[in-house]
Amino acid sequence: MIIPLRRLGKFVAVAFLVASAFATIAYASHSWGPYHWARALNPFTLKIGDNVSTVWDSHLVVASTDWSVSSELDTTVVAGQAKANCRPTGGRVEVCNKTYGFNGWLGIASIWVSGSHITQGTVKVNDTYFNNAPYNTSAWRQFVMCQEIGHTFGLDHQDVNFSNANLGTCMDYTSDPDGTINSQLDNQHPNQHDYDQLATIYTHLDSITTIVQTVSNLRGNDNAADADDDTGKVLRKDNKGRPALYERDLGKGEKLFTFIYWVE
Amino acid sequence: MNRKILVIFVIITAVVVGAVIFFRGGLEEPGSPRDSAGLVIGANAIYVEEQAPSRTLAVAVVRLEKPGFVLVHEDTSGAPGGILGRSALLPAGETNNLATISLSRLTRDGETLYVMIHLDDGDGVFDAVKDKPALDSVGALPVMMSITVSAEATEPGAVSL
Repeated sequence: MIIPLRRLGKFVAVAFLVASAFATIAYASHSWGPYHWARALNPFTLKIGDNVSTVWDSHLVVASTDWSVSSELDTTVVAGQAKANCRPTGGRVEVCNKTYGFNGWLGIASIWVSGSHITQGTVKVNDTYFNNAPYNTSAWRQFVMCQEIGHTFGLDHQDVNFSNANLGTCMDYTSDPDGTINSQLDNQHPNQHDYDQLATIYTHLDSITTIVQTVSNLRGNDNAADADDDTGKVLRKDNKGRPALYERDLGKGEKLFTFIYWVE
Repeated sequence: MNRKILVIFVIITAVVVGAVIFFRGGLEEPGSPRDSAGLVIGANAIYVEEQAPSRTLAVAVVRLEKPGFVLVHEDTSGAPGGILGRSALLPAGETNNLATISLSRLTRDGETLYVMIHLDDGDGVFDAVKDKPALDSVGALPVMMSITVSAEATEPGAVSL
């Protein structure tokens, strides 16, 4: 079949229009590049290590609950394993607070990646500012905590202009986190667009996982609010000395065995 | 026949390009530098991850209100002391994954470093006297990040403010 040159030109033009349309849709999204946690099934559960002081505990729990509304992922707050410098832990996210100094940022999210797969993440919130007005409010803390945790799932911002009207999501910059100053939407929590974006990011499945499947038995910063995980005694360690199999006695002859797959 | 092959090739190429952009959210490579306006509260901001002992220092994110430099100071009695190294002149705006800064000596496990922003006075050449530190809008103190060098430090692939 021979296609005339004029028709060929139209064909090419249409093809590129289609490609451009895809591109336009993509840039309207707010994924953080190609980054995502690798997992073999949905929904998946991501552990969030609590290394924060009591003033932050409730904000961490609320953020965890908010993001777990997503149909693709659940989060659970567990005892933190980060040390003084907020070290990451393989397969999970560690959340820390500290007076990091007058360095210009309220919160920061870091992810470690293997290709496009997130292998571990940290969130830091800067008490140097949260100890000062106007940031020493519950609304500011909730807004920042929600946003930085959202980054660790592979989400970017929906809007980066502080002066624009609130979009009703913590992934939108604002100078009015709860919307009470300018009678606008509340930016302390995710919105449907965030959940839709997570669905887009996590629709596909991977053949591997970069998520730790169980909680650890370590305590975090000894906050009363920190969970005291109970995975039992270590039965087996891997060749690097890390716990690989726990046994927990549930009573009445029942035992719970927990296997851990460590991310390399 | 050649035209048919050409048409098929063009269509496949266009669809693949569109699909890649759509599913990957852009053409960014993993861990590559990226722009983000950042959740910052001033015109100047800096973030440096924990560093392993080295003759260089990596700056994850820096934001400048006007062209300037990033300086690395050693610790002297709990405050910034001598300069160990500095960046080249940086443009205004946000820069991610800045080129590593060469240091005059190997840093030591456990020592504290101060990474500070200095704004250029307009001549494009660093002068420790004329190019003053940027001041934070809340604290009215130099915008800087103090870090502890650690042999256990690992660099993240990406950072977002």
